[in-house]
Amino acid sequence: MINEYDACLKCTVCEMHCPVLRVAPEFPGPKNGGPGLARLRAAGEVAELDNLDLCLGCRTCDTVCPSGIRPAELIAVPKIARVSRKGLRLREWILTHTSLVGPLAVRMPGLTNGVLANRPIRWTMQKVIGIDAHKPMPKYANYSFRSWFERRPSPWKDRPAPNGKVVYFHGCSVQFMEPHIGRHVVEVLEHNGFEVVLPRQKCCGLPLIANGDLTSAAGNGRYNLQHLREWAEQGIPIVVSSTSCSLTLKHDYQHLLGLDGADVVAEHVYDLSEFLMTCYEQGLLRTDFQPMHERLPYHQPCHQRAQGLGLPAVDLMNLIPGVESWNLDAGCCGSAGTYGFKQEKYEVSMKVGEAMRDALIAAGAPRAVSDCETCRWQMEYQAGVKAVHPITVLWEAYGLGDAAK
Amino acid sequence: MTERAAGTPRFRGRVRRPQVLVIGGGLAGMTAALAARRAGASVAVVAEGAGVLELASGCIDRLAVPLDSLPREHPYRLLGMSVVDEELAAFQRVMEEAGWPLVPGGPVDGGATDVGPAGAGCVDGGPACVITALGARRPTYLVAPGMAAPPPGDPIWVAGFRGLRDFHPAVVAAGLRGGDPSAPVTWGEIDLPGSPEDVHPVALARQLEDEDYRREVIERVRQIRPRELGEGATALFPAVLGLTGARAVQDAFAGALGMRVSEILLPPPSVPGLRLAEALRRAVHRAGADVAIGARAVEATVEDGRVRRVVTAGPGGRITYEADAYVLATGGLLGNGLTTEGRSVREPLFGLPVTVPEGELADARFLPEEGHAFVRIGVTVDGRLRPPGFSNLFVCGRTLAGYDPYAEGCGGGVAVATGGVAGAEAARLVAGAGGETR
Amino acid sequence: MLQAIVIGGGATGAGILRDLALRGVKAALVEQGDLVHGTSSRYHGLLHSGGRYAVKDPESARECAVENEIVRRIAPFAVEPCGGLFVRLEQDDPSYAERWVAACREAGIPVEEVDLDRLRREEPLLAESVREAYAVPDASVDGWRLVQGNVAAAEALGARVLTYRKVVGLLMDGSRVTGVRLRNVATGEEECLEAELVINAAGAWAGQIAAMASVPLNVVADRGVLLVYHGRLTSRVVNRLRKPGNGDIFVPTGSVTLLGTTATPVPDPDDISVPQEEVDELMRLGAEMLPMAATARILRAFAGVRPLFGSRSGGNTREISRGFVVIDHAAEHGVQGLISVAGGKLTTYRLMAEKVVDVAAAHLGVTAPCRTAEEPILPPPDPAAIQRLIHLVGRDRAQAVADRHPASLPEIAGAIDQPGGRQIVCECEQVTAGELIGTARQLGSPSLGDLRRRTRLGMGTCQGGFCGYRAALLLVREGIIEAEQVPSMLAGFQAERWRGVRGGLGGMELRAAELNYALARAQLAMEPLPAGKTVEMIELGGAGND
Repeated sequence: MINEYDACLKCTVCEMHCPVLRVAPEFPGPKNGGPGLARLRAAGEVAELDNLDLCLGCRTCDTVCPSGIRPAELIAVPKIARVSRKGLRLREWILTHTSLVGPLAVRMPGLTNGVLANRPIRWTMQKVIGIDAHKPMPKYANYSFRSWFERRPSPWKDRPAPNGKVVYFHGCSVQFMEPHIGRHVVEVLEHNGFEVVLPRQKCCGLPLIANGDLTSAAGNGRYNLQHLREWAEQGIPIVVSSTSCSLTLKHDYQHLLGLDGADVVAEHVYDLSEFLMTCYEQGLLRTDFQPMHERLPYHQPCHQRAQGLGLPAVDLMNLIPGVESWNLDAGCCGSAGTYGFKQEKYEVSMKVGEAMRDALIAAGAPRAVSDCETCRWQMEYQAGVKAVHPITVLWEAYGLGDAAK
Repeated sequence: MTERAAGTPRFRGRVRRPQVLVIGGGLAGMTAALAARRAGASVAVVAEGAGVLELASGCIDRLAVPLDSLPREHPYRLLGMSVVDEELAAFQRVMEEAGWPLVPGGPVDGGATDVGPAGAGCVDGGPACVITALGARRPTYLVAPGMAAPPPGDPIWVAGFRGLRDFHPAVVAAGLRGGDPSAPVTWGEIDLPGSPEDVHPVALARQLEDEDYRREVIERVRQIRPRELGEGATALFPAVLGLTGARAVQDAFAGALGMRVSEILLPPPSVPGLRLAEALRRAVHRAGADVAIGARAVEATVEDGRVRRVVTAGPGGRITYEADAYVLATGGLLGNGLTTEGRSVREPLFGLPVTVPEGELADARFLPEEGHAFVRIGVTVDGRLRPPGFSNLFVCGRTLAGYDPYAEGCGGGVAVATGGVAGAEAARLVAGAGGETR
Repeated sequence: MLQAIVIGGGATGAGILRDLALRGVKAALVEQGDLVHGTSSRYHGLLHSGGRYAVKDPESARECAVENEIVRRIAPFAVEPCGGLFVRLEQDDPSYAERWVAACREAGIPVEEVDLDRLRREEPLLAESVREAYAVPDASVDGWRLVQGNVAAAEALGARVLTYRKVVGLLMDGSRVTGVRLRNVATGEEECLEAELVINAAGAWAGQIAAMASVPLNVVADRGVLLVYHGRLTSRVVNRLRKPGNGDIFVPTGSVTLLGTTATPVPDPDDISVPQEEVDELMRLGAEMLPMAATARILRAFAGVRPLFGSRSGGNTREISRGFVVIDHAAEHGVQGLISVAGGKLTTYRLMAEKVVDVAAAHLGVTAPCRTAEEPILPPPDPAAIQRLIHLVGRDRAQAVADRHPASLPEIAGAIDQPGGRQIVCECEQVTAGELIGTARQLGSPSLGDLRRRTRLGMGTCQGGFCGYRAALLLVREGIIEAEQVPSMLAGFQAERWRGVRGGLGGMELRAAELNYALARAQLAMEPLPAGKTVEMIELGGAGND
């Protein structure tokens, strides 16, 4: 439609902020690859530009555009068209359906993780399907988050939770790889008087969207919306601990996939840090933190920055006495979900993340914080610095770890 | 959403309550946020995107035409020049504290771009200048680190990087010579490591912050440095000498070459604007204001001349801000604070009446001395920057009517002055209303 | 010794030059500006199916139908065969529609009714109030490429072309015209050129030329305004199915859409001013057919002057026939050595040229027949060059480059193949450095406007705000211009771009206008045009049909 590119001034502000252009000149960039190409495509003059797929999907361009253009969405158009014609390639299918492996993997994590860490197998994967051999695959846990949640007794059996219910959308990485984070989420919420509800849910679908398979993503979306809708209609907040999931639920379901009822649900979806900080501002958050005396450098995930929320995680952590937390403000980590695992993109991914790596090392802190799992894994891989979710810091500060002992 | 969520007794949804809400994150908005914070109010800034500040020169203009040529409606006339200069001085202090000193005429501490006493600047002791990619001297006031033009007559060597797009040292040199073949202006070019064909200025700026790469580049430049130029000469480079770490990069070049080093402003994507925008953002964060980019203000509720709330919408959802005072700094036409509907111009958030100058929208000449009428379109305010009928709303920056920042050379000054005043007025309102400042 | 001099480098003049060359006549063409300075670059770009004339002027309609097919065949590089529609809105007279369909059939114009559901799918932006729609073989033709192709073909056969030479007088020997006196517009130098025959194809200026031989030629200058929309609003030409009037046609051309036009007689053929009322009127009328026309972004507005030939002046200029006349002044007025052609439209340029050259050939004793209807203007693009281009810039862009440079593709491909040749200079229209350098080398001392007219530099979204400077730097780097020339070249280029932007200003384009103004003033500190110089003097060329 004409309106998608009509307002573009070619002002180049998007180019100035694009993390890929800073390291890969062969990338056409958000201006040329987005509204520029859309206009020429509408004229039937040019269908696609080379190296458009180097786009990280970080949506920095969408965020900074002063004209209301969404270059990242426009850049994705040829990829989406290609996938709808030909389907996903094998590698992309594998990378976007890791949640299928999940239930099996948590039953035999040793084997799964062993296979994925085995060098010869990784080199073979690289040669045969193009999954880069350098980057370690995330490790599966030996239990799923849901199984933990369903086994534990609810603390609100005898009395209603003073602050009512919240729904928790956990996402794939908490479910299969980092269920302890899910535990931290639940215990912090319960500590603050919320009853956590866990409706049926599946992968939010962002990896599918990022790889151009909107049809499959829409399938996931419809399933999730179906199970979230009743809660949204009651006005119950839906908190999301992974920032890519929250962006997908808030924005992509409505504006990229056009799913029915997505707007109703989106209104009640909160990024976890956003939710807790809003609770604090409304006097609902307990501040019985134990002092921590720690410097905590924070890396804001691109998909959280794209939500225009400010820096709620930093503000939250700075509520803890003795904590000094700040935003590294060093750009995109470069991992971009499935992107960093692809052989032809690995180099770009690592170069993009160099600024963050350098800032992280220069920060000289024993550990760092980020709300996005692929950011954390990249921080550990590139800078060798352990990274935790902000909720883990809060959980520690509340002394909930000690309670478990 | 401010009604109570039915199933959650006390959680009110996405509602935030800063004392001052600044709508717009450009130069005016950020200055307003700093001023309001200085006065002790809690401040949130919301912005749709980045924008005009990045595209500009990274320096702050004051005024390049005679003061008495300005019309009555000009923001400088509303505030008075003594207020304007106070605000500019305050802004200068804030940026210095934030580690990004902007100085009239360049730093006087003997740094890489020392051109002598402040104000010695550009042409016959007039205001400071920066050099453009056409080799022209463009007047400004607060100069970013490393950008002050050397005084006319000083020997200049223009150095270029082959492959850097939108820059040719010969064109700059020709412009600086101004038709005088005996002017002491020479130029040279190096190949960058790897001899890239098409280098993006922001990419190169980032690369030059890497010590090893920079050392290699400096060595190549040293090889072609004209032997006869001494310490009194200036080497002019395209403005790509680093991003946040620009001062260190500039100093490294100056030290190795044994000459003063100054930068030439490039067409966008240009680095100096980016540097200033990022420094400003850091300063605002340091001051403790909350900044949300990617959230356009879409709705405002006004009762009896008081703004009650403003709602922003973006990928992150709709967020309601209930503040005591509001600053509108959304920009003009270019910044998308004034929008067009068919052929008419509107202020879309509050529906403020927009003043459109009489006569033709645009002059037949592209660069008329008097500027263009359409650039002066905006909202008319009183001496305290309030639009008619509002008690807690203040307007600043390009949203204001009555000035052409490009023809008058006053863009930065109006933004800083009106932003500072708007922020202070907003905070005063908060304090006066008995709200404790935090 | 020249046998013929053609005055006027528009479609008619270029067509005449080619026809003369094909018939073996030694000829030269003189043009006051760059090629296609006049009307041929300042109209809506329609290659008529004839539908617009079917009811009122059936003879014209028939001519158009025939020539449409010929031009498509001989100049595929200049024609976008997008097809056309006539749509009747609710408020338009249905009986006119009936008469129109019958008249089209009568004139041999293929007409096919289009089902409204299909119409909505294919042209989703058209108004809800469309009640009937018919498809006709309209097409969009690029006036520059057509003229440049004809000129290239003529030059290949030995013809000469002199641009930026204004005819300031006719050389007379008694009552015989023996040549022309020319003034070089750039240098002011004058020279004389002699020939057996002078052919006056000066379009809107034809009357002025004829007056130089004291011969009356009543050419009415009729100015029409056109708007250029930023994007492609329709996939085909869309005409309004009612009595021809203002604001009743949308023509998509490349990445933009033209909306036209108005009709205002003006005393001066150089009057290409754009009255605001006519812009507003066009938007209002256009929005009746396509509602988004009221709010979509308008890049530029420009005006062109139609040369209408009529024995009466004043009154409704639409009533004057758009047919053409060939006047042999020897027979008509006793002035030997001068033939004039007046009126007509670009679609029938080849036919006009044929008729003129028939008369000229008779005078010159040349008996070779006319072959312009059969012979393609240019040979098909060299396959090796196309392959090279595909390899360099990809299949999509190779076609665009081939269409832009039909007569010099090998040279252009070679230039793109040089180091740095693939660099994109004009990002909005994806024009490569190689195209600009290759074109510039063929021209000698080009202005940025000369390059723009041949490559689409600066004709896209940013209207030259970013790429003008970049192109100037490229020319310096290649040693085609001196560094000192850059400021004045830029001043002229930007001033000309501004003229068109200003014409349509209001609406979304205000932001872009402010940006370009800000960049020029505050970022580059560009010089304004020197006092006393006009855009024409520096830029030297037309600004329209972009």
